[in-house]
Parts: sequence; C-alpha cells; structure tokens
Amino acid sequence: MESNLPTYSTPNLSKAETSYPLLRVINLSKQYVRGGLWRKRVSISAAAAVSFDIARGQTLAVVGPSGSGKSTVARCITRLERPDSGHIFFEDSDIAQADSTYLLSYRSSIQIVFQDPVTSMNPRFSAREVLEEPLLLARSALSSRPGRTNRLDLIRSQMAEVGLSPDWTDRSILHFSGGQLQRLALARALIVRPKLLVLDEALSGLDLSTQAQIANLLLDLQAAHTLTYLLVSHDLALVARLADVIAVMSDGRTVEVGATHQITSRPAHAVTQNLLAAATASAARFAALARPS
Amino acid sequence: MSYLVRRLVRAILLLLGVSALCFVFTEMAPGSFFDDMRLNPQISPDTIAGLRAQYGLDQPLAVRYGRWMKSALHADLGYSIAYNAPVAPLLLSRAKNTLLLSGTALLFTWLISIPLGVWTANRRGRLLDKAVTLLTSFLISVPELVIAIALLAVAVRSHQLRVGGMTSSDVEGFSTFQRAQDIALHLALPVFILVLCETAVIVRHVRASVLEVLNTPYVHAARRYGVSRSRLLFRHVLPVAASPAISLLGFSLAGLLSGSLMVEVVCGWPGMGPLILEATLSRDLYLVIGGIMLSALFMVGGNLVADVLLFTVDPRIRKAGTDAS
Amino acid sequence: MDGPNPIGPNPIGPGNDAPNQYFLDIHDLAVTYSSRNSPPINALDGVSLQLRTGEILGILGESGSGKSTLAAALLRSLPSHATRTGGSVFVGNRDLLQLSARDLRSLRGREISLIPQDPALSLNPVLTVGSQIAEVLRAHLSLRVPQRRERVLLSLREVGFDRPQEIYSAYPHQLSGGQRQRVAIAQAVACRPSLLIADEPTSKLDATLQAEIVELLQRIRQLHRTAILLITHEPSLLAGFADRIAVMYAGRIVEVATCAQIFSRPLHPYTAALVRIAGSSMLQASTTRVRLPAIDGDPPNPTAFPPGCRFEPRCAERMEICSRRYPTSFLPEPSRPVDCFKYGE
Repeated sequence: MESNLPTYSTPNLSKAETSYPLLRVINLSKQYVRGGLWRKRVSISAAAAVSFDIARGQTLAVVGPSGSGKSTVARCITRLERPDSGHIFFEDSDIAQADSTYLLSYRSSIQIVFQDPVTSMNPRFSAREVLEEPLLLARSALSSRPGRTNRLDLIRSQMAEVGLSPDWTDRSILHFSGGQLQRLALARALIVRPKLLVLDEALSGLDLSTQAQIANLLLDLQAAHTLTYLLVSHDLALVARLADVIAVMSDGRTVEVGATHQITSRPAHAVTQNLLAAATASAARFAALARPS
Repeated sequence: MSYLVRRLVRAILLLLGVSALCFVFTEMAPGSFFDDMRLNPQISPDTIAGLRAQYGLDQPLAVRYGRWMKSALHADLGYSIAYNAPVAPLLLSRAKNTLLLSGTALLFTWLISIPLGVWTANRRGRLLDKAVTLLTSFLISVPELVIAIALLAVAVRSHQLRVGGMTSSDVEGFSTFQRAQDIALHLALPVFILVLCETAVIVRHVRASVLEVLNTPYVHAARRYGVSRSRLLFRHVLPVAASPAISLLGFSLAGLLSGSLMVEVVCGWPGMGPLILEATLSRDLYLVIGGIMLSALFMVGGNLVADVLLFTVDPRIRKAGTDAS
Repeated sequence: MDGPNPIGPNPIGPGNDAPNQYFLDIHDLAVTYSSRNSPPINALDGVSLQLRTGEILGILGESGSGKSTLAAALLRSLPSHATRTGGSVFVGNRDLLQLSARDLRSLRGREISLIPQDPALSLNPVLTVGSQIAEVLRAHLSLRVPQRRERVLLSLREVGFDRPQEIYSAYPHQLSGGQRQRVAIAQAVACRPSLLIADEPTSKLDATLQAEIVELLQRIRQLHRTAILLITHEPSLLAGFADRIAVMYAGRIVEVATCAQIFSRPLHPYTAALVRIAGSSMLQASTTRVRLPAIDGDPPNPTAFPPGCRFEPRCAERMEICSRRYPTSFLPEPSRPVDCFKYGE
C-alpha cells in the first residue's frame, strides 16, 4: 500500500546547488534577561551555540521537548528576534546582526508559519486582505510593482495552489475552519515566493486528517517550487516522515544533528533516545493492535 | 519586600520630579503677584522691588528651588502673599475639609459600587442589570458640573438641606453635637453629587471585571465540579476580580485631594480646591506649589497603598515582584 | 472514606454487569447551536451510546464531529446559545437532562467529572492547588478541615506526586504543564466519581507526557472502578488503552467496536482512513518525504447537512445510494453497529 504513494527526493538541482547550504547557522545564542535598573539581572539562556546547515530543497527538522529553545531558533532565523551572538548565513550574507533596512530585502526570502492560525491573523480581515498585505509590503523590495488586478490574480492563484477555493477571497477569517486557516497562512507565506519557509509547530494544533492533508501539501509545494523547510516540532514521528535532517535540541543546545535515518535508528544522545522511545512505544502499541486478528 | 522598597523609592523620585516641574512651570507662566500693583501709578517701582525681594521673587529659579526644598524638609512650605500667612497651616486646614468631603464620598461610593457591580454581573442581562446600565450611562454622559448645579437647585428649593459652605452662619452658639449635625447637613449635598458621579464609573468597572472572571475557564471548571453559586462568587471569583478593583481604588485614593474641586466650588465648600484655584489665578506662588505638592503626595500615596494591597492579595504579583531578586 | 466504591482494589474491566445493565445510557441525544447571523448548527444529531461500570470508552472524532458538545451535554454545561432538542441520558435510573438544578449540582464533581483540555487555563491563578482540590471536596462531602486536607494529600499521592505537601501549597503558575494536568485529574477524582470524562487530556502536552497521563488514567480505573469516556482525535492515544471505541463524524456516531476491532479491521470507510493515517504517522524506517494517505476534502457544513451519508463526498468507496439516504445503523457483527451502506440496505 505504501509503495503506491509518490516519493519526493532531493529535486533536480545542479551539484553545486545541492552541496551549497542555503542557510548556515553557526553558534547562534540568545538570552532573555529579566530585571533591570532595580533588580538583579538574571539571564535565561534560551539558545546557546546552536549550529546546523540546510541545503537548498532540503527539510531540516528541529525537535525537542517544550522549553528546549526550538521556537527561539525559529524566531532568530526569521529575525523576529535579534540573536545575541553567532552567525546566520543566508545565501552568503550574515543576517544575524543586520539592521532593519538591510533586512528588508530578506523578508521575502524567509517566511514563517506559526502554530495557531487563529491568532496569527487579524480576525477582521478577509482572505484577500490577508494575502494582499505581504504583496503590498514587499513592493518596496521587489523591483516589479504588481497593480491591483494583478494582485487579485496572484491571490486567487495562490489560494488555489494551497487547496482553497478562489471564490473565497472576500470571506472573513472568522468563517474559515482551523485547517483552512493554516492553508491560508501557508498561502500568505508563499505569495512572496520565499526560498526558505520556517514552520514553527505549524502542524501541531491540527486534527489528524487535516495534518495529513497539510503535510502532503507541504511536500507537493516543496517539489513544485524547490522550497527549503525548517520544521520545528515536538512530534518525532511526524518529523521523521517529512525531514531529511534532524537536529535535536535540549535546554537550548543542539545535542545531536544527523540524517533522519541515522537519528531514528542509532540515536546517540539521551534526549534523542527518550523522544525515540516514546514514539517507538506508541508505534508498537499501534502495530500490535493493527495486526488482523 | 524589596518590591515594596523599590516602589517607595520610585515614589520619592516622582515627588522630587513633580516639585521641580512645578517650579519650572510656574516660572514659565506669565505674570506675577505684583502685576496689579505695578499698574497702580501710586505705588512706586521701588516699593514693588522691595516687596519682591522680601518674598524672594528676585532670586534666580535654581536658588528659589533650593531654598524651598530645604525649608520643605522642615515642613515649612513658604509664605502666602495673598493671605499674608505661612502656607503649610493654611493648606492643612483646608485639606482637612476636603478630606472630610472626599473621604466620606469615597466610603459611600465603594460601599455601593462593589455589591452593585457584583450583583449586576451575577444577574447579567436581567432587569436590574439593564436598569443600572441605563442609569450609569446617563450619569456618565452628563457633565458633572451640570449634575452638580441641577442638584444644587433642587436642594435650594426643597429647603431640606443646608446649602452653601460648611457651617451655618450662627454656628458659634452650637454645642459639639449640634455643630456636627450642622456640618453633616452641609456635607450631604456635595457628597451626594460626588457619590453619584463616581459610583457610575466604578460600578461599571467592577461589573466588567467580575464578568470577565465569571467567563474564565477555571470558573467554568469550578462550576462543573459542583461548587455552589455563592461559594463560587466569594471564594473563586472575587479574589481574582479584586486585583483590577484595587488598582481602581488606588486611583480613587489618589484623587482624594484633587477630585472634588468642581463640587467644592459649586457648593461653596471651603476645601483645597477653591484655595488653589484662587492662588493660581492670582499667582500666589508658594501657595500654588504647596497645594500641588500636597496633591501629588496623596496621588503617590494612593498608588503606593494600591501596590501594597495588590502585593498582599495577588500571588501572581508577588511572583513577578520577587522574581530574580 | 466516603464514596460509592467498595473497599479495596476490584476486578477491573467491563463485563462485570449483566449485558443489559448499563451504567450510562445515552439515547438519541441532540444539541443545536443557534446563531443570530447564520442558520442553526446541529452539533449533535441523534447520538446513542452505552457505557458499563469501569469501562473505558474512547470517542474518536475530529473538530466539528460534536465530541466536545457531547462532553458538555453530559455535564449539562453547554453554552447559552445551545438549545437541546432531544434525547435522554440515563445514569442508573435518573435522566440527567431532567434533573433539577440542585440535583445536578450534587451530581457534578461527585458522580460525573470532567478533566478539562487545557490545564494551564482551568486552574484558578490566585488559589493554591491544594485549596482548589479541597473546594471540590467541600462542595460535596462534609468533612472537617484536617480530614479534608488528608483527602487532598491522598488524591495528590494517587496521581503520582511524591511530595504532596509541597504541591498542596503551590500556586498553578509554579507548576509545569504535566504537573498541572495531574492536579486537574486529582481535582476530578477527588470525590471518586463513577464517570470521568477526559476531553483531549493530552493535546496541550508533549508526546512524552502523553504516555504518563494515559497510565495514570488506567491506574485510576483500576483503583476505583471509574468508567472513563476519553475524547480525542488521535487514534494512537486509544490504542491499547480503551476497551471500546465510538467513532464520531458530523454530529453522529458512525461506528462502535472494541479497540482491537477498530484498529485491525475497521468497517466504516472513515474509521479505516483515520486508522490508515494514524498508522502512517507512526515512526517507521525509510519513509522520508513520502506522502501520507490523507482523506480529500473537508467535513460537511454543520448548518446544512446533506440528506444522505455525511461522509459520502469524501468516501473512496461511495455508492449511488449513499447520497440519497442516511445509512442508519446496520449490525454486520454482534455489538458492532456501523452507519454504512456497505453492510446493509
């Protein structure tokens, strides 16, 4: 049954392109400091010396228990936060400490989809307004200036691509279901044609069948546009399905990085082993029952 | 503990800042006390200069400020030119009257607002709630001045209350009890006006915060566990709803000296309001500054009391205050 | 110790009652949500279920299936815009839906308890954890204060806390997510209810904590012979844990079977699809970047259900008759009702 489903391997890129990493994170560190003038300063190390590479067209997953710093890493890479030290090389430019004017041109290349689609969108907007906003903002970065009708066409085709009906452009956000909203969030991220898409627990809040649909959509989109994904999740089983490389984090540090196959068959670190054990036990319980009696 | 110390230090710094700004702003305001005199051709400029020197008005700003600070620390707030008397005792006697008025109003306001706010939140949408909402909307939209004058007119015509000032003109012959009674009758109208206007605002806030807590998941959970409605209100809802109410109380306390100015003027109550108003108009410098500082003291004190209460009542604030220290 | 439970541990599992002796008997329950701007929503459209004492029944359904409405209806804590249109819920020989407010209050927390979905939000932030558990005891049992405290400590120990005294005087914000969920469970079982409803108890927790919570619920069932209604959208949570599973779709129950039957030989196409997806989502070697076997399309619009089978538009095995009539319960095997025309006319 499994063999009938299409498999996506690394797309047809030139050897030079596949070997060169799109994103290189080197020694990324971020601390949150509490207290100020009056209180003793205490710093919490959310991420410390995190390093990994992602090649073009690949998917790298960052897994770990809650509080391990995965979301911090995602936010630093998209520059929603500024890291304290370290380098983030995106196509050879270090964006770790870049200022906002410099970053303007990168906003279109790196996009993010969040865990809760309901809170990541303005409930007073219609679908069209949600998708139009990034187009209007990117105007300053893009050389071409799509006019109003062009924008509407772009919006409709983007909605169709993520599996939403193009007739729903004027529908209010309040009338979309959770799964549909997550598709819209994907559309919003993709409409500016990013090269890197960060998915911060984007599949975590969804029902099982919706999760499967969105996961398939992600795979299809990746093949169609040669996208690179950074997938943050606490679900090792799901991640093993979608990612080429897995980075395991614990307490702010990357404790293990390796190819999926290696991580799932020969985990080296205790944290990885714990995550794997929980997932394996679950799978074993399931398999025991699924055997026809 | 250090949370409270921090708050106290902040309060002191705030007072210092207010005093400095007072001096700067009064300096920037055009005119001085002696302007009328200067227009009078019969008074020579030398006399005026002498008067100015006497009151220290010819000194530069910084020197005046320094001198004032030094004497303020000895509870000497300077001299009032208009009244020809030291500022501090003058302010204090008027402040007592204002506190009597606003303190009584505060007590009644909160005694009415809390039960009414809780009651209307508990019976949301029903007749009582709708009636109270309508009444408070009306009271909030009509300007306080209009309410005050309207009630004043009613009181005068009804001949029931004593109107105007704090005591009747023949107060000398009264015994202590009769004097107290007289003051109470004079107090009735201004307190009523204040209570009416303040309750309208506070009831709405109390109602809103109680409603908010009633709709939280943890109150729903408690209800699902079979906790009775009354126990739910008092043990589960009020402790949480108390926090925003305490902040509001802080504002109420803060405005004890300054909030009743308009009512005092309309009803002729001899409080701080009319005094400061008069002093500002006539540029009686040290009286103005002294009055502002006293109000500021109350304002800061009120907030400090609220902070202390919040710290005691709400464990979340205790945590935030003691974290990393 | 008060409570309806016998002394000491009991033989666990279903089947201790006579076959027709059900502890909970839900018959044709229907709930509609009315809305000002849109047509009414039929959240529950004729749901019937039976539960035996000490049985663990899993309700498997996704968003929009009506599972949370079912939980709320059983506790009679539906939101104000819900109008109950019919049905009965018998606990013993009393119909829950006809109870007076006073009787209802004595039932909630005492006979039937709900474990809420998000433990972070369902604990009062200004009260200590211990006093919140004590509140449940206080509402139903007349104990003196020291006795009550002892009971609370006992509950905390039962849910796995080694040092219950410390937890007693802690505030919710001082505890971790897993600890808070255990406290919520302690609150729910404080009065030894006969029925525990767990609404997505692990959805807000890490995968590693899921196993802990499931084990805890099993232990509670063993200790007190509590019947548990576990509502979830994840089949893997129910594997090896539930005795029976009822699958819900679009406000109706479409299949009921034992746990083993559901996973090894699901009859309804929707159940089969869910089990297939769950299986593929499990950890398996060398299946990277392979598409999952998903179900196309979306659940039907709850304001306008089609006249026929509600899963028909998405069903791979649909037939002509499926869109015309609703396939009301067939019994291809004993005690295995299925709403599908594959098994009858």
